[in-house]
Amino acid sequence: MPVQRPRSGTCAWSGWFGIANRRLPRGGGDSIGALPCRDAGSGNRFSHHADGGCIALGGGEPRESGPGGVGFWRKASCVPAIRRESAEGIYQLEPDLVILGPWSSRLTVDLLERLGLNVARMRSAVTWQDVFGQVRGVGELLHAQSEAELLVEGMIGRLDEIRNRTDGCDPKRAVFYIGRGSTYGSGTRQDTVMQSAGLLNVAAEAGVKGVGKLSVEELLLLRPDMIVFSSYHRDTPTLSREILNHPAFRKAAVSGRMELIELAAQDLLALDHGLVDCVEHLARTAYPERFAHIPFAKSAPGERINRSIEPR
Amino acid sequence: MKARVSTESRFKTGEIRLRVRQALMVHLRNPLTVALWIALGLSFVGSLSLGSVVLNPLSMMGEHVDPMVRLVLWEIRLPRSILAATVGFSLGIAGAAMQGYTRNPLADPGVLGVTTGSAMGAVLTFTLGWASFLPLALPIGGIGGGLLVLLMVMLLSGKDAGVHVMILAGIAVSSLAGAVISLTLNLSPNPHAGMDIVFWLMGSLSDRSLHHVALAVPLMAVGWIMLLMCRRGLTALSLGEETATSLGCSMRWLRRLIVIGSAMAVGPAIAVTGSIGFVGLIVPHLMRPLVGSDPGRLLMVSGLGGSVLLLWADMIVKVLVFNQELRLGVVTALLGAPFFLHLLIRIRREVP
Repeated sequence: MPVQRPRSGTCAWSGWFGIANRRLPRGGGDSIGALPCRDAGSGNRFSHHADGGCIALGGGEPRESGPGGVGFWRKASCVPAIRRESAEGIYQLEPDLVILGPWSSRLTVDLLERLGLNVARMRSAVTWQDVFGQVRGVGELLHAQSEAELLVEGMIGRLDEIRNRTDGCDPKRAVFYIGRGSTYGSGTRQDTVMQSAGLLNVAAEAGVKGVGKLSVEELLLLRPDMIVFSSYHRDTPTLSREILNHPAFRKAAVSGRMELIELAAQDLLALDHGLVDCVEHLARTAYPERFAHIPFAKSAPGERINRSIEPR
Repeated sequence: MKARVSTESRFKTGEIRLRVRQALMVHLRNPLTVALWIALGLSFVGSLSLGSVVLNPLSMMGEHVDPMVRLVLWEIRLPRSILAATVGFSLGIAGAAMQGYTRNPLADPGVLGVTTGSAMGAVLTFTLGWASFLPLALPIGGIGGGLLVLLMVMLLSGKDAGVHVMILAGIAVSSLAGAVISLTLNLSPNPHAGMDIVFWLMGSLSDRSLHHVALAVPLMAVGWIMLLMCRRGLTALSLGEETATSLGCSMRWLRRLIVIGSAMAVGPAIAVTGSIGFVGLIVPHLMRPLVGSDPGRLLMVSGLGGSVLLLWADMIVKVLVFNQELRLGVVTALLGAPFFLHLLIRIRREVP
């Protein structure tokens, strides 16, 4: 693959480990190879359009970035790409700025710094304060503070509106299920999203901190009203959806004891309106009466895949 | 001609029935076997009771039982306990058979490469995405992988191969299957898929259903019967191949029964649970002091011992609380590795 030289003012990004190589839709006139196989470093995403070119950083999954993906990846399509997370590959791109996530190899980070590149490290954003802080921080790095501030204000406004509508509701019990017998407990971004939608994370209530254990048995005995999945595993070979095939789970779901909700993985990773879209979708599903006749204020109409799902 | 074939086949069927019945009767008269059956029953009830909450299985017979609790007991705990017992039995009996056949105390069901083959089949099924379309694709792929490896071992070792050639063929094919698993991991399409493979390879019984039981147990049962039929042959073989042949034991027939029986017992087990090591190695050694060195007598008790051991290992998994699920293969390895070392040290002391 021929390496494209970045234009002045762009940055490279790097992350942790293997994600399938996917060719992305090409941006108008800007030819690229493939977006990086090695990404999702911070698990975060921030999009920014500047100087007629695109600057992109952070995560999102290339698999989710096909025609059904959010506009972010289209915007990012003019950013030069690396196929492997190697200091050599990144250095070849001569970036002005390298943004790395918390899972980046320490060896790579050290080498990049020793090579004299401008390296910024991002941490995973868990709370809304983290999210807004990162958006502002990236805005600063890219000299786009006003645009970052505008994004933050828009997100805060939407979150306030959702909170006002769900206030006073009897909170519904929900679990965010990852698969392989795991769930998101307290201290995770998924917990923050569920709380913002007025839901009670029963896994956190049961004492799960961070990513913790939750077998089908425990899941059923927690008696959640809603089970939330991430669409990350859709169309990819993972065992995380095995639970949907378990007879016990199917019987419980079919009998109407619980509702299954799928959230767009790229939205959950996004540090933009996509994350607020997840909150709004959950709130609308849990408390439909509070959102009756109010159109979805989604950021990219027609591109969401948040939906209810049926057990097979 | 037809009548002759029919009579012969009826005779063979009758002979097989008689041998299985004899084998069962011999074992049922043994007090150790009876004690192990009782231990198995108690462990099974214990396994049904233990979980995220303690349930009394007997109280589930009543009418006023929470439907969710009933669902948990019948659809989640029962299949798990059945699989723990049957997979343990398979690993135990196959381990005893392999140790008897190879006359090597360090042999286990993995010697023939069937365990790695099953793991390879399941991993490939998963990576190719078939597991997403067919719920039972993973265990079916595992069984297919195990049978494929068995076929390769038999072809590589030839018709009248000795034990050593067989073991070498098993090691070669096992290494190849291991390399395929590593390659699949290396090229895994996304980090979650890679983690799924790694976790699956660690072995687990959690969240298995009665579908898995229905798929694996009948095949395992065929393997058990084949291995139990080798009881006399293994006893004769302990006197040496020549003596066994002079006693009327067909070595070729015995080899086929043991190899195919072990593969049938272990392949479906691994395909459903993932890799669970050391059970097949440890249990025959635990049972040998109780029944003596006759490998034929060791078969049934090793199977029962394997069931009890795996039920207990699974109860440990359920009881120990960690932030992540403790994998069954990890527990058996933690129990088995020190025992293996102890065995090694004892052998070194015995052999000057």
